[in-house]
Amino acid sequence: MNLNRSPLLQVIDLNVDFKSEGKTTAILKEISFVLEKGETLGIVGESGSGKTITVQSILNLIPTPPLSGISGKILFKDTDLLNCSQTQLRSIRGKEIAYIFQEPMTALNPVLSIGDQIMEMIRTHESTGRKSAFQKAVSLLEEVGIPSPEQRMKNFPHELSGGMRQRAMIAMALSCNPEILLADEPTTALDVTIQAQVLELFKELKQTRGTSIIFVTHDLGVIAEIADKLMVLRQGMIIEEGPLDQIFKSPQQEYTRELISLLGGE
Amino acid sequence: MFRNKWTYAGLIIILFFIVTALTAPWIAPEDPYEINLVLQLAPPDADHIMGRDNNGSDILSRLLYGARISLVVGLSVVTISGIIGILLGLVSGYYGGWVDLILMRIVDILLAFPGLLLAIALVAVLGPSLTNVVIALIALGWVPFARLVRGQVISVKERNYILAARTSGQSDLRVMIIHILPNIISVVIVQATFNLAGVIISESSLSFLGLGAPPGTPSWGAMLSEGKQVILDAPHVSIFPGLAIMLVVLAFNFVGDGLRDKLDPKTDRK
Repeated sequence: MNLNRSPLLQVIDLNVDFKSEGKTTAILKEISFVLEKGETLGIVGESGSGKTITVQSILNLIPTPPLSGISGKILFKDTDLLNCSQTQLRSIRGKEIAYIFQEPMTALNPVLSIGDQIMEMIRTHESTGRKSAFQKAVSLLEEVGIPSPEQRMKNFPHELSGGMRQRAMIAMALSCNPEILLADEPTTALDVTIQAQVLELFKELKQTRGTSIIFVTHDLGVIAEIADKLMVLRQGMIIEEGPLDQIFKSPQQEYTRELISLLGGE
Repeated sequence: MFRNKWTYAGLIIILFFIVTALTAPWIAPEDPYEINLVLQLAPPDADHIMGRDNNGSDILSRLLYGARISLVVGLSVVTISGIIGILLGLVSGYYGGWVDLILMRIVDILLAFPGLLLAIALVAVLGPSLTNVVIALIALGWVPFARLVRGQVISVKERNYILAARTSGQSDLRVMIIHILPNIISVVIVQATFNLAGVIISESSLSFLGLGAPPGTPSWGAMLSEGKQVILDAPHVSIFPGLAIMLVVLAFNFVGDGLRDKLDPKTDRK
């Protein structure tokens, strides 16, 4: 799949601070990485290591305040996402770069049906009628493996199981055929069997659509299944990065070694 | 559907008044404006079950027509002030910052005055008429809506699904209207039913004080006002419009209570 590789996203020296009561704490320090077309980058790290802030900064979504002092560059096809207009950002969010949240139960609007939410996403970016948006939403639900999709369109989030909800979230993210998928711990809230199914779905999407993925997780086991490249974050800094096989074979940092050894123990 | 049976009683009463207001020209036994001084203050009898007022007009007919004024004033004030309050509350809660600061200080100032007193002052400035009563009540009516909506928006806007909507590239307006509003609308509906009752009382109060409907108009408040001059000799002149106001206000409060129980997940025990 990775035949035509070229930098799609470049993060250069990203710094983010947290300000509270006059004190400034660095949340991200000098984060730099490159995501190429069709590539899957795994970001791994413990809670509070800055994984979510890293991916949220890509869409310029981090809340300011309390966060401040955002500096660096995030280049998506020559557009600096940290310094572009809201209109430009809106046209990129969802259409070019889509986000999948950890908890599908809280990331789906409880008062709108699944179908309405997917159609809303489609119609935000494409000038299409309700009927064709409906058809597209149905085929997306089918693609992510939701049985009887036409009926499911009418369901509200609470009427679906956890796995189904995450599939619906993924369908929503895929609705405008984005070039990059930011998956923020998409399997963490799911039980092991459903986790395996959702991972399988990600692998399929990688194969069929060639989408670049940034996959955030604290579970190295999940990364091992899907990523091409790995980046280990700790206390807001990249402590190790490189091709997945290389890091698994010869980790340079003690922390990475510990993570890998824990994986062996499971 | 509703656990509280009083809600059904409220709905029936409201429905009854809406039907009578709509069909008043056909069901009213007499012309409400007809003056018959010979039968002035005639007590209720078999033909005129509510008796006659100071001008000898049939009280039942005037009550039926009066329902139109109360409901039209009530519904128009609540609808318009509701829309204004919802929009300002959405903007205030969603954007925060100085927009919120300015809007909420205006709200605080308006809330610091006794509502009816401010309405009286406004109508006194604008001149007594039913239209000006509506304008005065709208000028004050948006305040509780804006405050309520702002609070709700602040609690909803931090939820993940709002972040998800923004992440998907939707504009602030779409996020507010499509994602936030449906999540808070139930609370607003409940507030609207209570406000409707309040507006009917305010309209009646202003008409009672001679600031609303012009003399002779069959408004419930004005009828009550006319009745007070003869309350000892002919109590029926004030009792029936008083009862009508009480019933409608009570009915809207019952429905408001029922809706709150129904729509608030914390109180809806299934």
